[in-house]
Amino acid sequence: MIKDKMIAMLLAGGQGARLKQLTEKNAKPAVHFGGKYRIIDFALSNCANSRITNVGILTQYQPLALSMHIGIGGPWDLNRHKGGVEILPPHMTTEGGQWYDGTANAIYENLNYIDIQDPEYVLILSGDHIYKMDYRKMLEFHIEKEAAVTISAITVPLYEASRFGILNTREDGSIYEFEEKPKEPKNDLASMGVYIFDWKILREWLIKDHDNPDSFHDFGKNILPGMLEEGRRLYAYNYAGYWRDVGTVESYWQSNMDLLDPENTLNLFDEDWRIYTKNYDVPPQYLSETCHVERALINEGCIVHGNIKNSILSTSVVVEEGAYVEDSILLPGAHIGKNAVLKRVIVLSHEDVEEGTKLGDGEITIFGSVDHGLIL
Amino acid sequence: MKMKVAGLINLGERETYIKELTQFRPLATVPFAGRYCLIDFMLSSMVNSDIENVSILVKDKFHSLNDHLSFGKWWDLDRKTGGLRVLYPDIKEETAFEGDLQRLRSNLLYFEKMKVDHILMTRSNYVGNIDFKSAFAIHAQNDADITVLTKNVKNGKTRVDLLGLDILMKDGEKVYIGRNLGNQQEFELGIEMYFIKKRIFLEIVREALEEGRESSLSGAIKRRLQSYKVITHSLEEEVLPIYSMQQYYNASLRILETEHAKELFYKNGNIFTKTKDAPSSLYMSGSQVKNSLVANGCVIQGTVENSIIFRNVHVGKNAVIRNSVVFQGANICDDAQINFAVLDKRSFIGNGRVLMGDGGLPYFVGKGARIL
Repeated sequence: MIKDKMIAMLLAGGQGARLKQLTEKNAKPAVHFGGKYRIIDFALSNCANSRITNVGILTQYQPLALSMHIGIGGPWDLNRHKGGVEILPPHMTTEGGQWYDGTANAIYENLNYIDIQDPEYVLILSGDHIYKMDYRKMLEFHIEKEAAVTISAITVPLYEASRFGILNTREDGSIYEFEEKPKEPKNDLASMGVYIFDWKILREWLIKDHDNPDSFHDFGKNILPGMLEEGRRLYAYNYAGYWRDVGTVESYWQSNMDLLDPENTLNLFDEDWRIYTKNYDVPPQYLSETCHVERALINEGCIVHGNIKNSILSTSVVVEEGAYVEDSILLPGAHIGKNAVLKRVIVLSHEDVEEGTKLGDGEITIFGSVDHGLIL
Repeated sequence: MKMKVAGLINLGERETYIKELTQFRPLATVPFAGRYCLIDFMLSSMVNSDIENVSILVKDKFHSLNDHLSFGKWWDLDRKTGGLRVLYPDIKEETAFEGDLQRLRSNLLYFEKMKVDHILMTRSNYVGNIDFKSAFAIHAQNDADITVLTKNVKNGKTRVDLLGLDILMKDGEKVYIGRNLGNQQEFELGIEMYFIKKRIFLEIVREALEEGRESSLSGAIKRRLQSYKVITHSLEEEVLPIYSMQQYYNASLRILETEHAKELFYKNGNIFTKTKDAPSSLYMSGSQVKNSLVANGCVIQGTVENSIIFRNVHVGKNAVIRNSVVFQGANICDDAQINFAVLDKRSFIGNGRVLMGDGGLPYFVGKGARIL
């Protein structure tokens, strides 16, 4: 069983600075997404649905909303006696202490945690991506190929390939070259930042890498190319399906808008692969006599008197009469005053758009100075 | 400081007039308000009033109840100290199924050991968001043996829906519980909620069991009211009894009144329930939703007006739902028309089918029924 063989380490300490006000006071994994979720819910639910019951979550940047959201892991069935979820922040030692310095360093600093679990395989995940994936199938592939590392990869348009870590592979999926954000990409197969390592091999490498003063302690820049150079078996696991790195305001907005298409391949309505999240115990949404709603995803607790078109309304949003909201994302607790007009606007949580305000001029506008990511 | 009170929710309410909805479930777990069960309102009111020890005296149809309660986790009642306890009848006792008084018998020791001084005895089928803290303060200040909670009714003669329910009668200082026959215009409605000193509660239960003439717990208490120091307290909150299909339907549609909904869902704290992890609801092009309460997980293409739509309901193209209550997982196909109806869980209404009830008596479609 996967349960005892493989544990997951989820990197959730990044800032995601390109998300601007969304991540100024909140970690990217805790940013609200798709009406009721946060970005990290996708990776955590993938773990739950893949029956991975040991998940270490590495936090660093603005962890409050994130830690409160995860709690003891109840929504993902990770509130367990054996295994379960563990939040792993940077810590002091007798030699002093330091912040996590690179993705590989973050794992290195928690060698103890992994040793206690004594897994055969370690799944490295990022809390930044929107996708559904059965990690069990990836592990089967990893075992079948007798790989040291398996990297989940997705085909991207060639013109975008220079934004990603690109895997150059042979026909059988084995990787012969690894290029981090190449200027002239040779291939369109991008790393999704999802890795399965044989723990013994990774453990050796983490220690070796830690002792190397020239290393950035990064999986993409150091560990993976290093292993390849050493002649280890690296394989690309081809993933086909919805996957988005919502790293910019535009991609965040677009990925939310994708959910309005009932045929979208992420399919949140799939009962066999539920995305789990914390529940806020609010009543169903109320759509009043005066509202007009066309193409919208609306969450519990909302009260809608106004007009909504092509928009996402998160938990407990209120839209007053006569307001017009189009192509917009309203985060939890946002209040849209009477006759306000919003086009392509992201309203941060608990912000109040006053009566009659007109917002949005074609570019995606963020309304509100800062989002703490909390649901009150 | 937490209250020194334990809750006791006594199920086994009369289901004669709401048989359709209680065939497979007790009244306690009859779905209500899009995502709740009736008992959620009582459990949440208790928990929000700092009552951390709640017992549920059950009668039958345990399956639905167990499924919903999940050891009390949704109400923070999965505790080492206090928490939720379901009191089952002891099947070894021949009299176990006679009445709630007998069902309570095998659990009396539990009440004795409980480290509380008072018991709040209620039913599961009154919908309200009740502040028991204030009510208890009055009970405690007056050092009453029993405090009878009531709800004031001003238009009794026209309230057909309240016929046959408890009514508070007074003879000087003495308090009686009678039956409402519709003769009084203004009265205090008995809502079957009592604060009782634990000592008195045990005394009454023992005495009634000893005498052996009674089978009803509430009857035993009502008959002995004159022997104790009894006060009454009229609740300000809206409290709606659900004993009949008509009451159920009316109470359901009343949630569409904004002020009522605000009180019911938020006033003394949120209402907690079992979560189902459905995504937000998707409204597609062509959907027309007006004055309706819609839970998560729905996909709506058609028209919904003046209705309560539970979780995971699909409403097809050009389908029209009006003045109706549609339970979880129903599938309303294209062009179907539904008016004045209550559709139980996972019902399937085929293309173009027409179901019409009447405001006086909603059309009922049973659990899992398929109308092709």
